[in-house]
This record gives sequence, C-alpha cells and structure tokens, in this order.
Amino acid sequence: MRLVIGIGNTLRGDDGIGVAIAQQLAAQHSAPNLHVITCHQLTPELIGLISQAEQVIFIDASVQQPLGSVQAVPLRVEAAKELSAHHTTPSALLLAAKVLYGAQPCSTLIAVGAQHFSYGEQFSAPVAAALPRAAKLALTLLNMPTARSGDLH
Amino acid sequence: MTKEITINPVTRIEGHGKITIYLAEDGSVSDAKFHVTQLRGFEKFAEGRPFHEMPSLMARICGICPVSHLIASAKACDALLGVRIPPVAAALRRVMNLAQLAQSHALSFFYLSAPDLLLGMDSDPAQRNLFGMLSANPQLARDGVTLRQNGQQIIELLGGKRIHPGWVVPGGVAEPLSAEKRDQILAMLPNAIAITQQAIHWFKEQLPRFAEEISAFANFPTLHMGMVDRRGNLETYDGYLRIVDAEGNVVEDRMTPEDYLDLIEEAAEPHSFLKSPYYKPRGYVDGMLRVGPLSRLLAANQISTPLANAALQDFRQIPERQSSFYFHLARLIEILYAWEEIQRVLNLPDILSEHVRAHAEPNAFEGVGISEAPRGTLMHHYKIDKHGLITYVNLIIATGHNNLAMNAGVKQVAQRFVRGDRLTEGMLNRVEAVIRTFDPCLSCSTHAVGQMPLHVQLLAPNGEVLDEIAR
Repeated sequence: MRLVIGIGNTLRGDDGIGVAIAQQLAAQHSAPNLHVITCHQLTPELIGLISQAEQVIFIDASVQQPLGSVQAVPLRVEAAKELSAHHTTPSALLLAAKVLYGAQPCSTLIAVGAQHFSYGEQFSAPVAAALPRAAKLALTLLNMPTARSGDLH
Repeated sequence: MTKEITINPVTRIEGHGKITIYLAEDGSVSDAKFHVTQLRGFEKFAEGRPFHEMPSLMARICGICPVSHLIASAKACDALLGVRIPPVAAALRRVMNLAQLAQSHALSFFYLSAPDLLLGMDSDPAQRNLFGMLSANPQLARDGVTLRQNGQQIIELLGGKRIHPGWVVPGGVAEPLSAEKRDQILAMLPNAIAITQQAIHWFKEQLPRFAEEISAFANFPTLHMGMVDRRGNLETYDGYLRIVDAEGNVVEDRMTPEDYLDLIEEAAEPHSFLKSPYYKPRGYVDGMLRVGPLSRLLAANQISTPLANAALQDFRQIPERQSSFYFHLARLIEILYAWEEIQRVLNLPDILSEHVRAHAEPNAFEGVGISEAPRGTLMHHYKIDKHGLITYVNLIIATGHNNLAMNAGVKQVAQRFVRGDRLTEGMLNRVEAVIRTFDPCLSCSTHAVGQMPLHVQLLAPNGEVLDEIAR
C-alpha cells in the first residue's frame, strides 16, 4: 500500500492546503494500492496504517519556508522528538511504526510554505498556485503518471 | 506563612488546566484548586442558528468526542421535532456512540494514563510518555493503537469520516448501513474483545503497585450518576437517569431527560471557567456528583453483555471501588461492553433496514437530549422560536459534573503526597494523575481549543509563588 496523508485544518486558510492536495489526488487519481486520508493533525492510531504501507507521503503546510514554495523532505525516524496523544510529527509516527511493527516505509514530507491562517476556507494566492505543483510532486514521488489531470502543470 | 504550588499546564488531559496548591504555615497542604482557564461560549454563539444545524455545530465543540455531542444534540433535535426515530436509526446511533466510547476510553487508558501505570508515578518524566511506553511494553502500545483504530474505523464506516461525521441528523441517521460495512465492523470485534480482556488482566496485575494512589485518588463518598435501561442495566444511548449514593442506595431513578433541571443545578466558582453542577436536592456542595465509567458501573445493576458483566461482578468485589483510581478499570470494562454490544446490535435481523430517518417540522419549542459520553452524562437543552431558530442553549458536560469531585480529589492527593519542604516531580505527577483518572475534556466542558497542558503553582500564605511547574 502507498499511503498519502493530507494534514491541516480546512477552516484556517492556508493550513488546509495539505488536505486539499490529498483530496485532489484522491479525486483525480486512483490506483489499487493507493490509500489517501486527511486529518486535522497526526495522532497515534495512524501508526497501524503507516505500518502497513510501503511508502508514505505526508502533505502539510509549513511556516518554515517561503510562502508558496513546495519542498519534498525525506523523513528520518532519528528526527522524532515527542509522541503525543493529540499532536505529533511524521517522524514520531514513523519511529513508532518501526519500534512496534518493524515497519520502515519510504517516507517523504511534502511541505508547502504558508503564512495566512485566519478563519476561512480560501488559500492565499501563492498557496493556491502551489497546489498543482505540490500535487504533481506527490504523483512523481508515487511514480504515478502526472499528465492525466489537466490542471496539474 | 501559607505557600502555594501551581501545576500549569496539566498534561495528558484534553484541554488546558492549572492547579494551585496552598500550603499552611507548617508546610502541609491547606487547600488545592483545579482551574480551567478558557471559555469558548458555544451556548451563546449558537443562538440564532437554525435548530437543524445544531448537531454539526455542537460536534465542533470537541475533536476527541464529537460523536457524543452529535448524539446528544440530535436527540435534543428529535425532541424539537416531536418524533420517535426509526428503531434501526436508534440502533445505528447506539453503535456509533459505543465506538466513540471505546476509542475515547482507549485514548485515555493506553495513551494518557498507561505511561504512569506502566513506568510508575516516580519514573523519569522524560520517559513517562508514549515513547517510553513503546520501549517498555510494545505489546501494550500495539493494543492501544489497535483498539483506538477499531473505534475510529467504526465511526468512519458509519459516518463517512472519523472526526465530525455528519451522518447523525435530527430524526435519525442520513444513510442506512450496508451489509459490507456491517461485516467489516463485525470482523474487527473478536480481536478487539480479546485485546480488551488482556488489558483488563494487565491492569489488575499492576494494582498492588498503586495501593497508595488507590487510597488517595479522589477516594471519598459522593453521589454517582449514570444512565440505566428499564431493567437498571448499564445504558449509554437512551435510558433513564439514575443517581446512587456511596453505599449504592438509589437516590433518584427512572428520571427522563426533561427531569434534568429537577436534578441538577450549576454553580459558578471564581477560580474556574468550568461550571460546577451538583445534585440540586442536596445543595451545593453536599450534592457533589461523579459521572463517567466508574459512576456508571456503580449506578447500574448489571451489564447486559456477558463478558463485561462478568468483569463488572469482579469489580464489585473491590473494597475501595469508590476510588477514582478505578476509573481506569471501569474504562476497560466499558470498552469490553462496547465491543460486545456493537456485536449484538449489528446482528439484529433488521439492522440493514433503509428506514432510518423520520421527517417532520418542529413540533415543540423546547427539547432536551441526554446520552452517556465517554466521560459521563451529557446534556443538551435547546429552545427555538416559531421560525426554528435557536433562542437558548444549555450544555451540561460530563467533565463539569465531575468538577467538584476533581477539586476535592486534587486536595486529597496534594494533602497525601505534597510537602512544601520537599517538592518532587513524582508528587506533582500524582496531583496531575488524579485529574487524569477523570479523563476531563476541557474542550467540551468550557465549550476550549486544543490539548491540555497543566500549570501547577505552589503558593505561600501571603500569595508568594514558591514554585511552579509548567509542561
């Protein structure tokens, strides 16, 4: 199974970009072993699902990079710091999946630079423009064709 | 000189809390208070909204137990419609409420409290977390992941998504259950039941290590409230309110949702935004109540499912079962009940019926909906105008019912474990842990956002802050 996890709050502006990208992937691309989920934040029960995947792509907004930029960051379990019941990091979940189930899926974080988190379902223009690029990057990482969707460029 | 300890924020609970411990001149604890420091105001901003939006709006109170609010809200809306919802719709709502109860209890036990139970109250706080638990007992951690995942999956299968599903609606549910989904859920249950039984066994093995905590963790007589069915058995979706005293004598029985104002009055205290409901006939504060898994088990005659009932009968043999430390065991017994009851309901012959919603215009200007949330009895009370717009909302949340008992519990633990001249992290952890036994959900009870760090302050008689811990 290849697993895509879109993370974010769709009611807080740019924070919802991870969810939007994941939803676009799910709507426009299907593959027998592709599983796409979305969540407000990462929680420990995802460990079970992650442990069953051969590849995991997390998609999230990031305040640590320029607005509208898209980066693919390989994830390492060594970076894990804290595993909380409410909010945790991709690396922490990957470490838990390794310790509990011996699973070591190939894992990447696609991060979209974001800055506008006020109430609303609209993305800022740079983040909206980043959506197709981030979706295309996800498809490339998943080794899926990118030309099927007309709006990906 | 009085001294004061503050724990702020309280960790591994749902929301944000603060504890203040007041020391007397001799360094002993004179008082302790649990403060809830946020206000969200759902009761006010729902005013003016169309009543049929209420289940979806109220579910936004909490990301942990949205289903509980959905259920209570939908029941209040059923009362506004004046309809009796189709039996299959009630059965399906019951399944979702039980799945919610199981996944929330699994979160509380395996993720929030198991680090203390497994590693000990005095263990290194850097290890006393989920990572520490993964190393110390990976099987326990795997079991927690599985049980919570099972509960979430059932909610998702029924409601379309794990958090904030819109499937529960006034008059019933939006979609019938498919045979495929029923079979998917049923397939999970045997393993879930086996895991839960193992967890009960594991917890009982740990008990000898926690004799002191059992004796001091909110271990005092109070009233207990919970729903029961017409036979007096444990009920979580639709039953009667029952209140028992510490000796198990029934104080109130067969009370309906509409009777709640005869039973419960709410007090406001200056140190907290969390209201303090109490049993009205006994007054404030003699009417101190507890609700939630421990209270439900103490209030019910029996459990209708065999394995959970056997566990209940064992629980009844425990002399100190009034101790809030046993909330943990009660939680596990209720998880077992949830799986068994889901199994029973999904095997009902008409469970796939497509008649799952009653349609009507409002037929009443006032409606009350009560259900058992994971943390206890949840009450939603609405009034509408002739246009169906909300004019009044009163929400009494499980964590609120427990507020007086949590404060008394913090004081009891602080008096047992905290000495002003020798503060240790382990002492303060116990003060936090007594709160954690109640599994308070402050997101719900203050109608607060997010997770709950805790702030503990130690105060001198003159108000001087002598020490504080914030996590």
